[in-house]
Amino acid sequence: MNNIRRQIAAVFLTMPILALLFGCQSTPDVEPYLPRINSTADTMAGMSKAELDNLQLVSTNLVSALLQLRETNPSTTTLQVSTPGTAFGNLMIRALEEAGYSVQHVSADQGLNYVRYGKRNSETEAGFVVDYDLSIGKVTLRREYITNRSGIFPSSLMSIVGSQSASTVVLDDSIFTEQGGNDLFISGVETDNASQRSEIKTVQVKDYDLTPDDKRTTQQILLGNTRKQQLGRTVASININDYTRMRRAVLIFDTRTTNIMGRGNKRAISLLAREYQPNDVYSITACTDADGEDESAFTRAVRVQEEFMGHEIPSKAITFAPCIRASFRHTSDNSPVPVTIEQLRRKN
Amino acid sequence: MIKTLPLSQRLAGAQHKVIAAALLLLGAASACSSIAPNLGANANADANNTLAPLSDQMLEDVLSVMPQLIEPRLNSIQFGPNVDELDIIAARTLAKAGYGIQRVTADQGINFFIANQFKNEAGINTMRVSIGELEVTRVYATEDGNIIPAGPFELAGTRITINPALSLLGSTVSNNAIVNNVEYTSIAPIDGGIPTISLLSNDIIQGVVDQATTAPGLTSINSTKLEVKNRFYDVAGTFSNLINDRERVAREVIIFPNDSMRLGEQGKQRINKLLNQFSEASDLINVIGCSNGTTRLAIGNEGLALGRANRITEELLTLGVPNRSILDDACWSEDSTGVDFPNRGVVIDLMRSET
Repeated sequence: MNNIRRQIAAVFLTMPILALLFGCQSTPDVEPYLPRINSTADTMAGMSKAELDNLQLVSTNLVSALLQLRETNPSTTTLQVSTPGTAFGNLMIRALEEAGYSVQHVSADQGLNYVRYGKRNSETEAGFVVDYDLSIGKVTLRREYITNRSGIFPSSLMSIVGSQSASTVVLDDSIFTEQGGNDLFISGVETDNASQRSEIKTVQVKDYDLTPDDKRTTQQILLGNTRKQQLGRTVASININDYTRMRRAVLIFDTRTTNIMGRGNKRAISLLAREYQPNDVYSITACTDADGEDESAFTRAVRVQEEFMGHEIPSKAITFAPCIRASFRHTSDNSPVPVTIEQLRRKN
Repeated sequence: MIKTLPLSQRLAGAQHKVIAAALLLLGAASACSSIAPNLGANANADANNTLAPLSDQMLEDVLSVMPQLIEPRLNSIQFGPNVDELDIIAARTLAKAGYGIQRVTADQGINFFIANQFKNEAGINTMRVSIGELEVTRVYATEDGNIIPAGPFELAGTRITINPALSLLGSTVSNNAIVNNVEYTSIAPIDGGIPTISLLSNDIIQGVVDQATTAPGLTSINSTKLEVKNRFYDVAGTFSNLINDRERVAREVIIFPNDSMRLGEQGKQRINKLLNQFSEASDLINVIGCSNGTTRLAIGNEGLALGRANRITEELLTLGVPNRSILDDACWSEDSTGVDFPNRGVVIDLMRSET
């Protein structure tokens, strides 16, 4: 019996030493927070998961606004970044990657779209706030945030300077309310142009808003959805009677849920794009549902739009045709689906 | 019935449990302190895709000629969501070379990246990298534990000249002119083919109505599945918008034997002669396959004209001309009088943009 007691005592005495040696308590898996290339994991040493999550919310918030600006559209903007020297820098570059930006790694501050970012602590009448900013070219986004027991929350409007499209930005602040608590924050955009106004609202956070970690909106989903909605908003609205139909192609997506286009479809778009003339419009019919509401069809339409934009076709030269009822499809039907493209040329 | 163990055995069991618990805690402590390598969200999506030894060197050798083909500072390379080890190595190598790296959710982008390592028909290690419609392939051998190139660079979808000696492993084969070389070829066929792109213009629709059923068709589908107008009726052609503001800098006419699609040695030489003047950045090649007059073949003049244009297009692709640079057109009729094109030949025009 004494022997066993001695062994138990030895094991429990060893525990604190092991814990100190391996620093278990405060080291989360940092992979989801790091950029995929040129990351500096050591900048996150000693940071808790909560701290990293807070920085991720801030970077997601700023980048979700950035990608909606005309001047910094991810489809047409390549960003230049330096190797990050801080945890916030790592998280910011990761958010830019997730938003679909092309990222070029530079040794100094080369490039028209060099990414600058910063974090400043301020003592204000409202208490301690932290001010985060992100700048690309002439565009700067800035917002103050405050940290409390529930998490991190905005404490100012988002200031966007240097953009002609700042007033069109729609902020999705649901990522903050999911933290729960009993708080109130202001949501909206302020710009440097008096003629640009955006809706300003107050967001109430309640205890019951608290969402379990695995049910919260991830950075990838929020930025992906924002980008999709943004692309959908930028398409042209045309009067079909002003145009002559030139060409037509029917792309086939392997399943209802896939976003993979495949080489054959990509080649068809490349051939259609080759014949583009200024004032031409590509009309995309992706929706064949009777009720006219189909998220996966919208996603496919955006996918085709993105492919055209890759060939330098402007988004104003793309339009989404209304839903047409082609055939009945059960919701569980995952067989191949068509997307029709018509190339339209403006009548003289 | 409950079995009761003797006290000594129960104590021994407790001892084991304590030690096991301690070991578990120790394991947990050491596991949670490690920082996971950043391989991307789905880096291990395909656990069976294990790399052959030294495949990283093969990949880096193929990638080392990319800056000669695609300008790094001006281009981005797209990587899909399901990255494997080859993708990770490639993304790092290309980022270091100055390319923008763009992570996409599906297969977006004109420079979408795919790397494949496989053994070719002869069982030799082969590395193939596709970036958009450009493909670079090379075979490799192992010598004294080192990887060395065993064949030339095979380029598809481009006619750009590269210097293979500047590649990563170029110096290891500098005295072997056959290996230290470049060959041009066509890109791999597309599984499932390309969707047909039809013409919709009103004159075509009206023309179809007006024409007697026995008359030659007004339109047909070319080798790239693009519907084209019959140039017997439409002298300007389907691609007039693309070539109107270009200057014709060379023309070759290749005559085919009666009812034949055989190109022959002389025809191949003429194509090579034309390609010596071809510039990928500024030129389009307009191929007009013709068959006018009587034919005994069941496919008729239409089939012959398009077949001849297709034969030339195929030859151009095999020699590395990008698909986007070829405009594949045709003219056909049973009437051979008053036609601006040869009765049984193909006209190939090299059209250059001044800009």
